[in-house]
Amino acid sequence: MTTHVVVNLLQALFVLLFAPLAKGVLNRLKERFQARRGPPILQPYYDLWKLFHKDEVISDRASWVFRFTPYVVFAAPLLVTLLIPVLTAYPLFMAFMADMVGAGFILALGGFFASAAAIDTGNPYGAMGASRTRMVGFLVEPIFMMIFFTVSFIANSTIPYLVQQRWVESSAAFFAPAHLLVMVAFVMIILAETGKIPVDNPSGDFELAMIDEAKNLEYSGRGAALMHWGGSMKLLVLMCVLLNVLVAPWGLARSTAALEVLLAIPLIAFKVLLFVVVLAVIEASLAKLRLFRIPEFLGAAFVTVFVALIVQVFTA
Amino acid sequence: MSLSVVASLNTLFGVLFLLTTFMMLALRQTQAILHAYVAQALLLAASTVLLAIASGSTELAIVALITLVAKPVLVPVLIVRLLAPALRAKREVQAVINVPAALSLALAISVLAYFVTQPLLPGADPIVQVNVPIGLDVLLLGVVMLAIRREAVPQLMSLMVIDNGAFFAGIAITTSSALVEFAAALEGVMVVMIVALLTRTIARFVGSTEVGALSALRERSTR
Repeated sequence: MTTHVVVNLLQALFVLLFAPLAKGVLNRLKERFQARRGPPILQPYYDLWKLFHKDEVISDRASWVFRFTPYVVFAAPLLVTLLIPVLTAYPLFMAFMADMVGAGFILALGGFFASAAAIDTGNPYGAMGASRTRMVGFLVEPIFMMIFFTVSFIANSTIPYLVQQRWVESSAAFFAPAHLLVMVAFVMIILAETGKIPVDNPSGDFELAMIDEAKNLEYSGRGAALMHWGGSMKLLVLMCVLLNVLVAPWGLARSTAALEVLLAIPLIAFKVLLFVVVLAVIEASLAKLRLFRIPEFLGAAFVTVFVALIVQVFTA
Repeated sequence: MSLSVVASLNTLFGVLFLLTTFMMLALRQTQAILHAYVAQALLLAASTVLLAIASGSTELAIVALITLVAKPVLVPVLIVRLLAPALRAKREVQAVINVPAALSLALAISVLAYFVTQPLLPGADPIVQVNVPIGLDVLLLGVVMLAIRREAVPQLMSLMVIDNGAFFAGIAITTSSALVEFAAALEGVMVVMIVALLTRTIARFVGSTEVGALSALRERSTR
């Protein structure tokens, strides 16, 4: 029990400390692909340090929602960390508190508060960003649902640990068509949910074209730091779900031995960085879609997972 | 190769085959649709080769060979040679309904295809169980594509999709006496040649391959 608590805290700590690095590597790689030098990979840490030491300015019209939101956005991915396999292949003490739907709900709660806070201050760009994020969110939701349906058909469960055990079992299960299609759809969802390039341009400076970033414009100092940190942790958590549960459950610790758990840290970090390279390639090779083309991109994701579902239902 | 490996590879090809059809339905540029078509034809050929190896039938091997030459190579080459200006046009192809609506329709048709073929499948060979619904589905999606596109070149490719769908179901059912598949594999090339020539003629007279715009009759002014 105590070891499980310790390992669980270690998982949360890993997500907390590694998330800015993953973001830094992604930014750096993206710039490299565009034949530019790019910021140092530790830049997100410097930014967080700087923001935490700055004064915070809050509009006097802002309500408690605006002040409270950074903490929700920051805490939501950490809570999800307790539910999913980040470092270990065996369920930890919180694993059965909620399934993948529950994890999605917690992440959505952070998104909801971010949208509410964006409207709160009356900044027109904030409201615009919030409404666009909601549009993407509404379209992503059914895809998530279909993925959960497919997963529960295959694994008879939506608890991440059980799903992962079902898929690690045999290579035949890995190469099953439904599995591959769910993987593709999940990558597309990650791109949409975390504001990556075919859907949104995270490094754009033009407020009118922003989707995700526009919600953070009003934040400064500690609030901004927590929002940024929360955002990069959300990306890392989604990557962990993709890599550890759906794609490649290799490198996870199989026993509670301290050495094995510690060894899992560099292995998982390496795996995540490999996926970051894939993300950077996707971001570098595609152009941002026009706003009204986003439903088509997500429609494609929906079709992919729907095909996975019917193939799974009718041929199993 | 063991039977289960063949079956799962076949399922994989089949699913990707279906996915390329959805892609062709969602894409807007003629060139991109052609690329998706080539991918689809390659998957079809791969599936035929796989089944030929698995069943060991000579006829199917010959069909596989013809498919490999005709569908992913000959047909695209013919289209590119005969219809290059229409392909190079960078404009977006008009459709009667928008992409999300077309995709929703396609999903409904997929369910229908699986539902309709359900009574045929219990007890059948695992390969037939995969190929027949997917083949019917692709065939029906080809019909949808034919109905909603307003340009001749994508419509030509929709005809090929219909052909591919029927072919995909056919190769699973017949292992001996594949005479029909013989003909079907070759007939595609003929269809492409005829329709492409027709399209070229239309384009010469009208100045466009946009057949959706040809619905109104206009008399030539006699002056």
